[in-house]
Amino acid sequence: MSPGQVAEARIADLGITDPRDIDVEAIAFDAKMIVEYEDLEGCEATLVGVADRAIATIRPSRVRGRERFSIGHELGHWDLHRGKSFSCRVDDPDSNLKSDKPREKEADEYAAHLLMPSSLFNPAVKSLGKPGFRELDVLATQFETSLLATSIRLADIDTLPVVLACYSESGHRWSKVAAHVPRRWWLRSKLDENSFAYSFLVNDTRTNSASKQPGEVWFENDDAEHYEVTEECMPGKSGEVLVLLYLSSSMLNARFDPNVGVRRYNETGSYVKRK
Amino acid sequence: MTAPEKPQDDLAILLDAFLGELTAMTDQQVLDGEDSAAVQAKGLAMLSIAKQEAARRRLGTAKASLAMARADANLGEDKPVTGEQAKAVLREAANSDKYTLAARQLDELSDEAALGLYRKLIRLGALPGGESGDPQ
Repeated sequence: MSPGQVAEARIADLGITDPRDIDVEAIAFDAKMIVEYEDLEGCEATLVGVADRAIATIRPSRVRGRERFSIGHELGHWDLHRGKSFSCRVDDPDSNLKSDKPREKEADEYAAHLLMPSSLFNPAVKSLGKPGFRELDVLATQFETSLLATSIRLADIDTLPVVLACYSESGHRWSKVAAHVPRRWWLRSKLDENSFAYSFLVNDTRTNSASKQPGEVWFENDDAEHYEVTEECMPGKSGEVLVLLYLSSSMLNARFDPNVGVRRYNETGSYVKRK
Repeated sequence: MTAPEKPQDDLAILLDAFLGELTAMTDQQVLDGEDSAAVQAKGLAMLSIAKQEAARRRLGTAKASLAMARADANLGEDKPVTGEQAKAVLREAANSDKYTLAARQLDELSDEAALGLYRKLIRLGALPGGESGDPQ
């Protein structure tokens, strides 16, 4: 079973059919993991387990959704990585998102499915059509999650053609792309001056709702100008902007683009161009 | 039916009785003129409701027990240890598959943080009253 399936099985085992019943501390307790809150040095959370009992210590946060995600993450380690020792989750959410440590990724996947199980989250998303950040914020309140985790989960469930990306003035930080969006679409490494995200970050001008943009504003592909995306942005952590893109349906059927990205093709095959 | 040795959940008693009754009946009695598929569907629906109820009760029990568990949270070690001793124990624990540990690297850990983790190991029953060195 995947980490997400393990988490969702736990939700099903406890007969949870309403987001309000996702009491993450009680779920942890049922798994013999006690949750405590304490200031920690350089960590979001720690986990100490002996045989089949554990104590997870979570750094208190003003954002309850963040605390709940940390609990879900530690429960993920407890369910998936029992008997192992590893470094704790660091206290920088950006580093966690960029982390490529397999165990951390697995625990994050577990937490996302535990707090927003498909059986409850997918129908909620479906009822919203094409949710923007405002609607995602309502969902986040309903599931007691952070807006960031909720937005990432929207891309994860892969029911809508979305790309969630984070940029700073120096460029692309990280992105989550719905799995059915063709990999040929290559996000720009730097913000285009015509993007709303650039206006927000550099000129502090905020566009309040999602608006259409030519594809070339967001993608490096030569043919991007023939397509259209819907862009919405909101402030991320200091000096960063979060962007939610909806791709038009024609972009999902676009053919493979051999000229984009770091891989190049010639008569003998493909190669990766060094920067 | 023999009396249960320990108190049982009302729902479990009901399910046992229901199951006992069903096994004692003939096929005709069970169907009682109804279509077998309809009876099966009804039975499965009842079972599903019962499972759901049992699961909800499990979550309810966990919620109720949380407060009691928190009351025990202040138990510490019997004998004080130093930060270095605590780190030595944690190092041993990190290398044993009986323990699960997610923390900062031990060499980055302050004495205070090491002692905090050590106390949790004790509360989980890993160490006999402040013995250091071997986490067994």
